[in-house]
Amino acid sequence: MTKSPRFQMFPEAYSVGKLGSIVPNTEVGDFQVVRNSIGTRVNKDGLIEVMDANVPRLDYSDGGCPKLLTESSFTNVCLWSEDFTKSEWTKSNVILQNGFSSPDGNNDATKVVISGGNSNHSLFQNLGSAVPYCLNSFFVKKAEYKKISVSPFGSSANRVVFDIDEGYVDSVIGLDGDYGIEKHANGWFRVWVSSAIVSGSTASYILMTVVDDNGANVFSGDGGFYIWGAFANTASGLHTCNSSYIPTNGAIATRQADQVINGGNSSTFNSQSGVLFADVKFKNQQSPSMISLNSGGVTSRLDMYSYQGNSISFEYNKNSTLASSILVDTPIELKNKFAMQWGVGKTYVYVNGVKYEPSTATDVTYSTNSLTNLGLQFYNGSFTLQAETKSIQHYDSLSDLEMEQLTGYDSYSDMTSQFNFNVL
Amino acid sequence: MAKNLSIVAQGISGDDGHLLGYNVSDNGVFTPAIGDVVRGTSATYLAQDGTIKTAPPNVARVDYTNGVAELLLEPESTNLVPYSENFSQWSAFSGQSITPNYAIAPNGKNDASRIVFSSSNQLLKQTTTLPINVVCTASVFIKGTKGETIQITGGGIDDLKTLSGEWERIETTQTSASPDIIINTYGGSTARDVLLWGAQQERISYATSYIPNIYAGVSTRSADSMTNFGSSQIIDSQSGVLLFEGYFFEGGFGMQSSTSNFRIILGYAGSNPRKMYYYINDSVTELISQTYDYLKIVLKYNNGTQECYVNGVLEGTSTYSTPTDLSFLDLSAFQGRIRQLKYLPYNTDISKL
Repeated sequence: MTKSPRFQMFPEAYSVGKLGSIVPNTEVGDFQVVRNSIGTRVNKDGLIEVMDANVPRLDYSDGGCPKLLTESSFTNVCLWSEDFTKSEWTKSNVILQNGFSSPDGNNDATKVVISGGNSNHSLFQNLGSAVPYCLNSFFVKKAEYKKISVSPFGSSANRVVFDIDEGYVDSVIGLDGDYGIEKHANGWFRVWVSSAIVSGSTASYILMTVVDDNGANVFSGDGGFYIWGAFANTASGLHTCNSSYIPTNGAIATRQADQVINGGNSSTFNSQSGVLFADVKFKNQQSPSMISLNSGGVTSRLDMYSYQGNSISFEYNKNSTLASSILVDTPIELKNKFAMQWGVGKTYVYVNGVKYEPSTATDVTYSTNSLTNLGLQFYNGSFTLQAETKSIQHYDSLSDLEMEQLTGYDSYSDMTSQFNFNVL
Repeated sequence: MAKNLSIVAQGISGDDGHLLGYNVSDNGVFTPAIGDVVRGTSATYLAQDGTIKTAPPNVARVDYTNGVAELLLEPESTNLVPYSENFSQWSAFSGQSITPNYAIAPNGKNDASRIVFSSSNQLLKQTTTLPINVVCTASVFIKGTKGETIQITGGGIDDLKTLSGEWERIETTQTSASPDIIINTYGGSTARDVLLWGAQQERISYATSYIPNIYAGVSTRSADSMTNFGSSQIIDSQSGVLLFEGYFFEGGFGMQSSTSNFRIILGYAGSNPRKMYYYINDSVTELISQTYDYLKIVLKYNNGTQECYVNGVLEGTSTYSTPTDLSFLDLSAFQGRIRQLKYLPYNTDISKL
């Protein structure tokens, strides 16, 4: 596509409180970044790195170009997330060895070694009374053992077993919830399980158990595996993906929401007709996750968001009224390239190269200079985008071919690469 | 928007829970048609390098058993043979020798056992939980001397096999009279020195992909399911060409509606004899072919005219009305091998397919 963008952000240049845009190449194009706490990311070397407050997180989890990581507020209620020797951690038929290389590049990982003969071998922390939902997560790496199970309510009948050699979910036993495993550098995996309360539970835990190669969780032997970076959350609702890691040192810790706001101004955007494009992989969906180009208030708004389902909503608001909307089903846990166009005869969207139109054709245009404010949240500060964002762009009106090229792919191998898929 | 959808095994990609089909626009732009992949357990397949590998749960398998890439979708099956790779745990006659971990096995690891029978009328036996009087298939990977023979006994019925001199999987399908699986030198067998790996006995009329059952008990591989490829933006309900190339085991596939009972389905059903058919909504047309062998099927349809070709032969015609709101390609009830599965525009020259 040859048409030049009026606004273009690829996450590259940043400083405290600022995320630079490529177009316009002035301070007008920069986003303001607010996060009132530290946050962690995966850096270019594949290591977990703590970023200071208000510093945008350019994340390299998928390798290749960095993505802008934005998340909602989240709390780690697990105490001593990296020091399993503390008394808050119960060692049940395991002993600990310290000083191993960890996912942050320091020698602060722990080896969990089984002991105590033919028994269950667990490491856990009691999080207090049983809550409706509990999330557990650990960084783990195989040693002599390559399987572990995670059970947030301490029940062997409700758990997920992970293979931390090949990096997959080995089996799901009686779980009402969600789970996953993420590959990290140097042989580490991060496993997570989000579970609804198990009937009869009196407490919530962060709990892992060693599993032998035959799938048994009661056995005798020697050897163990490595562990680092425990994470637990007991807020309401099941989670469909994990939060980035939040370290703790004896007290619970909260990472505040990322706000990326105030990109561009009235001269940046073509209010009468234009295109807003995003290349995004949505994350947690417990609240709406939004990108909005608006007038700085409720009056004029172009909102693109996802919320609790495999779909993206596109809403055109004019004079504080919903003028048109389009809902597109798409697997939102994967990256999506989508573009929302407005203008006379141009009110439609493209998602991954496919055109979608509103059920009733409607022309939506805005008066000159009325669109002034691009942000990765709703106009009023709510619904912060929870996603990995590769790019945000704005163009003057585009043809169908240009929309198709902007949101589609050059080849099958291009799709394979950009979705981070493997050739089978 | 160009209406087309392709799933081609050669070079296909995916991840945990997803398989990447595609659409190509008139402008040559690729758009994804990502389907859902569900299989609750890991499963094995023959990789392009000739070794048997394991796919994690919910990851599609591209299998090269027939020398080309094929998506493999199988029913649930259970390997009833305990210690399927450890023949020292099997019963044997005195005088036979069993050496575990003797040679490279089909999985590329040093897991093959050497079995030396000292004479005729010897056996290596494992008892399973197979019931009596059920259809079963016993199989084992074996490498021996070319031209020599050996018996595999599944469900109590002997079957003499001639060896190729290379690793091969011998199998026998029987109605069970006994729960045992036996490798033996009865029946005039001439082989005395063989390598064995990966025994399996299952209650299915053909050998499915190998299911490791390393210890006592049984191991089950869950069924494969794939669905939800495409959208109404890239599928034309009223007309088109549905192309399938591969092997049908059972079931069927086709294009479905997410809001109604409309459908266009190609499939197999029943037994004695099983019948191939296509459905347009609730109207069915039976075809002639009944084979489990390689098939290339083309169903060309529009509103009022349908033609179905199997391996180039016109086997069915009909004049049904076509659906109006098909929105995805569904393989959730299909079992077989897919080299390619395509929805193409109606004006496609089918003589080239």
